[in-house]
Amino acid sequence: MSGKLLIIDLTSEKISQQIISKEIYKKYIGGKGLGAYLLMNMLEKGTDALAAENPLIFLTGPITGSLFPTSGRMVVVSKSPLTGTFTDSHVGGFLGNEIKKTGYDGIIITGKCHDRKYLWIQDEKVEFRDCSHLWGEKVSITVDQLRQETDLKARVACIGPAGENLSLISTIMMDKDSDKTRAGIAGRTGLGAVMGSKNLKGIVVMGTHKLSYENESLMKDSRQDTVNVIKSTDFMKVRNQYGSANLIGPMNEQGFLPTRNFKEGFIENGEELYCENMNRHKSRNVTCFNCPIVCGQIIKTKKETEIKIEYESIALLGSNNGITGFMDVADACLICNELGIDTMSAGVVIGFAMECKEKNLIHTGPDFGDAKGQLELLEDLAYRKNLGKIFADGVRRASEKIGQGSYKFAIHVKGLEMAGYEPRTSWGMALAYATADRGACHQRCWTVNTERTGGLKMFSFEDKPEFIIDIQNERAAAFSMLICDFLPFEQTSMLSAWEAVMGMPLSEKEYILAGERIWNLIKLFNIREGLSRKEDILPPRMFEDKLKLPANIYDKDSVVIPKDAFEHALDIYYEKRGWNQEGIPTLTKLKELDLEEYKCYIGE
Amino acid sequence: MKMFNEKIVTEEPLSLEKYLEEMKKSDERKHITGSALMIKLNGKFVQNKNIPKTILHKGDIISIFPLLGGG
Repeated sequence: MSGKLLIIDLTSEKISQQIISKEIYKKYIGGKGLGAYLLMNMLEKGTDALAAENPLIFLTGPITGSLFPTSGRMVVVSKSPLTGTFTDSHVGGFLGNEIKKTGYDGIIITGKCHDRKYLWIQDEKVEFRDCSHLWGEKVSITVDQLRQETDLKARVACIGPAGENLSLISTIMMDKDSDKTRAGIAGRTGLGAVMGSKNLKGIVVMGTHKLSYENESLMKDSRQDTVNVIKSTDFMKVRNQYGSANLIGPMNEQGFLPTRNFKEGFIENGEELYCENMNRHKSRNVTCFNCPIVCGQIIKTKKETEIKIEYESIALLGSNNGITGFMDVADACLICNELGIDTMSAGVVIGFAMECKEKNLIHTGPDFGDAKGQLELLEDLAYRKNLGKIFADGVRRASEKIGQGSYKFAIHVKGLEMAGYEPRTSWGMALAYATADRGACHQRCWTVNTERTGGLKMFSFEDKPEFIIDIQNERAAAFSMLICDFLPFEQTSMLSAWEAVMGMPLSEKEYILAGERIWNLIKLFNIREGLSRKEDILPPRMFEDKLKLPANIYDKDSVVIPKDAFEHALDIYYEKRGWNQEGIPTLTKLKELDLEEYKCYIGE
Repeated sequence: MKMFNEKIVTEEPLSLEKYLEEMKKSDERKHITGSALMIKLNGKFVQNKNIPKTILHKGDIISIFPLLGGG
């Protein structure tokens, strides 16, 4: 770790550095945690997420670029224009390693370019270059052209037309799917619009520094131990063969798969979406930097172009919109990645539009099952044309424009469209979505398998508040260390890797406590920005509309979440977190976590 | 595929924390490796912070669920 962050002010075109002390790293680990610390201290309360003052922060983790498996990951942190909350969008691929090779642990971008620009960063050198000729171009053309103008081996982060047009469901794309190596996407919460608001089309990075270790043999041992764990974990073979798409079949057959805008939990004749069929169209596997799992599944589309596909995209652009043709989903993913739109939010917003049409609240646009209409609407979202004028900013804003009670089936939490797991079947996900820091995200705590396998009782909130707290804390720590969600590992080995890089130990207790500290700091940020208990809630559909369950699996035919039981579980969650019944951390909790300096945000 | 590991305690007294440490050193390790673990004792969930103070007795049933991130 260099402990150095590169600060680029786009307005003045001035470059500076910020040094992060080892004490701060020990307190916040890096990645997500460091991002929360920086954003809390840099951004004034109430700043518009699309204002020049909102920083866009690209961070690596302490072990990014190291020998430790899955060390290619990075995170983009900012205030989200979609949710108004703190957001951290995690990215695989190779850009994280390249940033580390510049000699910096991260890049903080502030201000706004006077004209359309891209940045060319080579180690310590930063150039501001004109990008007007690429404004409006799709992602793959942009990546190719930026490499032509800089270095063919450079790594690129860029936005597509959706980010330029400030769609609040737009992404930042890292490299492109047709590269030999794996691309990455900062997909969720509208970070493409933050970059677009800064008139910044791309960031091109190339570094030459070699990562140094405080203790190289400790790093090698830690790596070997973790590689052994990966090899001995049978499930990793499934990950390699299917990525996350292996879940589509079981989720459909057990009633967890969002179908027709979360009206149903399984889709009839959905087998074409299953991973076994996906593999018929697979052209190759791709991997992120230094990852032996190699889970990326590249599909060749009907137009002979390549696209990476995962569970969430299949669920939300497929069954959720009544579409069962696998290649139709692949085509939709291709448009999303070329235009820079989040496949997950796009899937949910199109499902919402389809239901609006079904209910005669709008009179144009696709019906459920209309794959061609979905492609047209995706284009409209990116360019804010036709129905895109209503739907380009996600379901919350679309339902506000449409009115007529449509908020009842606008499927989001805090403005973030829900991930691909039906919360009426998984009550753990109901509470996890409601309490997640950036809205309806499945990555903060994923309870589905634990419920399916009997670890947690289905259709009950028993034990779930405590379980969700444990996992949210652990994930906050892991997302700060920046290791992959899919990595099986021993915490002690991973913490040895930290020590090998940082030259100081971090115990398991300190690691988990840091996770809890990070979770609480982000809660304070969100409270400061005006969020409260009333945002820790699910869409009305989950409490009001019965979900039909698949036959002969459960002891009931249908299910709905009782609102009083949900509210009671939320009470327990707050109490176990050491928060008051409005979801505000108590002074005692802040003192316990060494966060007392932020007590003004809880009225102390 | 084995989704969780169930064990009956044969020695006492033993702390749950010590039990897990020993298990991680044994051949059973591959069944308990995830990014996190969920532990149940006699069918009841044990929160992380309570693991160090939990004492096991003969006949207790420990269920260990390795957890990995979702799709």
